[in-house]
Amino acid sequence: MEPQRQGLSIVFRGNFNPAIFHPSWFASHDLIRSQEVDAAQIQIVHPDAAVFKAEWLEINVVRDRFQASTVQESYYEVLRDLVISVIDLLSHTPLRVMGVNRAFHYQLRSEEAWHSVGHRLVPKADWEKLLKKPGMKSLIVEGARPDVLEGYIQVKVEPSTEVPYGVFVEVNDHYKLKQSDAAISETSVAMQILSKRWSESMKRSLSIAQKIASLGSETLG
Amino acid sequence: MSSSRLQPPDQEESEISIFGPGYGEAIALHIGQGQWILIDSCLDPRSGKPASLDYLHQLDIDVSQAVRLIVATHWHDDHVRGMSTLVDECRNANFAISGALMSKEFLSLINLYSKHAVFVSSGLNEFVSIFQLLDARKQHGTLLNSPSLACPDRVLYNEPISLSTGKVQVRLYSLSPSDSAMIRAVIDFAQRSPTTGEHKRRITSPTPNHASVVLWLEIDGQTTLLGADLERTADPKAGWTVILDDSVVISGKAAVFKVPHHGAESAHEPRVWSELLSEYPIAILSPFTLGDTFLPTREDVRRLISLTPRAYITATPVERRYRWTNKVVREFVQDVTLDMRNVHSGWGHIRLRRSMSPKDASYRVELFGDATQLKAEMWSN
Amino acid sequence: MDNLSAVAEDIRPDATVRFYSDPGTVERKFSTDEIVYAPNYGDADRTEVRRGNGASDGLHIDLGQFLPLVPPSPDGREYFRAMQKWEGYVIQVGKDTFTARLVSIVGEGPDQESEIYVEEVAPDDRLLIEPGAVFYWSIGYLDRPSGRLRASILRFRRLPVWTKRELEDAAAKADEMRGLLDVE
Repeated sequence: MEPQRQGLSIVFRGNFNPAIFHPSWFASHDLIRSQEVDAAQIQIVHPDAAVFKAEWLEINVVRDRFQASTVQESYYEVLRDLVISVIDLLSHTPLRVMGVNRAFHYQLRSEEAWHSVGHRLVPKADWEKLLKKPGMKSLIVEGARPDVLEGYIQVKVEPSTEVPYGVFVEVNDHYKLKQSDAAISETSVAMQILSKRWSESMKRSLSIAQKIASLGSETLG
Repeated sequence: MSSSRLQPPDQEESEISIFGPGYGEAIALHIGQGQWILIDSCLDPRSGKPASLDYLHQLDIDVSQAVRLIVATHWHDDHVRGMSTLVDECRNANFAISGALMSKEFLSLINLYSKHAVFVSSGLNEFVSIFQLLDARKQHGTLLNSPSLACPDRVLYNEPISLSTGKVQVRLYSLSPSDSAMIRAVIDFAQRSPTTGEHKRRITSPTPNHASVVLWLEIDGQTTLLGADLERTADPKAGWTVILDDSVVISGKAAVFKVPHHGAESAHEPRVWSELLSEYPIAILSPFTLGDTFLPTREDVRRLISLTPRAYITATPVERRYRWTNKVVREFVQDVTLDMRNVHSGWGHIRLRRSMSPKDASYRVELFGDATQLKAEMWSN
Repeated sequence: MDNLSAVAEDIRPDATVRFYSDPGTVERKFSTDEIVYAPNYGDADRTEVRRGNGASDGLHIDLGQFLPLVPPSPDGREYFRAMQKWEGYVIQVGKDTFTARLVSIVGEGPDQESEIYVEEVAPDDRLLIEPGAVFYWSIGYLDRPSGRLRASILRFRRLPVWTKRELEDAAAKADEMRGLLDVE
């Protein structure tokens, strides 16, 4: 099953100086094309917040959070490279956690199929004793990481607000960056994860989303 | 694939296996009593796994015990892909590499490129992982021996094997790289090192290959010459000339020859054939394709056939093109590219086995996958 | 300003904003010229930045009169759906074409070697075409408010240039590695 829309964001929690994240800073390090810089829509660049959009890129930074995102699948690895470059250039920035998050909007074949996803994830029998016409609005489930890294995998499922009879699935691949060995910096841990575990993260998120969306298949199983 | 391929060698049977897709080469040697030596590594394009390791797994061999030595003859992509997996799984194997690869210049390159691992595996990435593995073992006290540094006439392996007829000695020598070659290689690494302000990009493999490790295997008088990628050079203290003139460990003539550098003319030294090889040896090689380089060429094939009728190649370097099922992809590929072809033109495995006693037992040649005897009419280039 | 993040219940002039702080809740007064960042939870399009109004009871702050600094992000995004995506690296560069190895990331097919027209590369990226340069090539559909297009997007990888510090650190680590592996 193919998603109708999807997006990717890479998020860090740490200590940032939003004022530096002007598009021209990215251009000065040759991280994005000069034409993209010229066409960038800057919403704010201030010591407390930096928000701008380039053609395929959205940057959103506050003091304790950095987020880079795109809704263009062709730019996923470009986004990854950009984020690697940013944290490499700012290698002294304290980072605590990293999230590699994919979001998908799947369109299901019918209203019935759409309802069946909610029924499968949140069986209504008990809820109907408590509420009149209960419906799943939002579901978040968290699981342990399947690898040796610290963190978790969190999945959110909601009815899609963008696609008719659609299911929105967001997979948060969350990594704790602090290591017990003080000689290993959080920046280098993040760079290694983004370089070496990228492919498995992308495949895992897609697989989870596809399996959830396929719960709505009229021929279940 | 023939079911006999999965039959392991007898305890008293030696084996030389060479694996090769269109890009890459790996060798597995059985030296008797279930003990193996692995030379280089390539990925089996069908499984994506290291070919020699995959083979041993299929033979149901416990590689953590059975593999005694892993040799990296040089650092080029086509000889090391998957090698870190070999080092990881073959926990009791010693590791041998060209002396040039322990130079500060090469290790600096590794450290630089370890920061930015690219999705597409490269030779340097494999060495980054290998050194991390060895370092971790050293920290844990489980590293058996430091890596052996291959140089002229160095003993990399020297152990007896017990046969029903008595003990025989198995020896593996490195015959290169010479001091001169090592210096050249180190200079090359230094020149490859990026400078401040230079863009980060994937490092490309150089040619010619001076730091390549040529190996001489002796099992009770039967010898095999594994030519790696060593090329001819005008420097009498490098390439094949220095081996022919200065080596003191070579005795007798080899009955099996792994043809260097995929049969290229630049690696052909006539004196090797006349002085180091028996008459009409078994010659084995793998093809190589990269850009507009296709090896061996038609001329190379003719030359090899003239030297021995018993020449075998793991796959024929023919061009194969993938038919994209998606129409949009198909149309854009046609518009955006002048040409597009599969990297791997095929995959094959040549296996040579012989009894270790009696001494003069001849080799049994088996060909699997696309492996074939070398014939000139098969080549279009 | 403290490291507080805010979740707006609703983006209206008199919206109530609940603050979460790490490690715990704090009492703060925000003066009228302080900027409060208020993302609408789970919806980056509704990001707005407002000025505080000086009121705070610790957990809640009434924004009251506010000066919106930015409008909400407009909709009308473009979505690219890849049917095929490769990561490639350049082997040789010619006059009008360059040869590259391609590994499939999305889609089908074995590793490819391809001769690609230089004119398919955006002008801004052409200086990056060198042996060893890495790029991504995607083929798929680009969905825009105005309709759907077939698209082929080829983009070269950009990383910061090598710094003196990086080169020195690598050399220092090389010495360490030689020591660890008993090399004189």
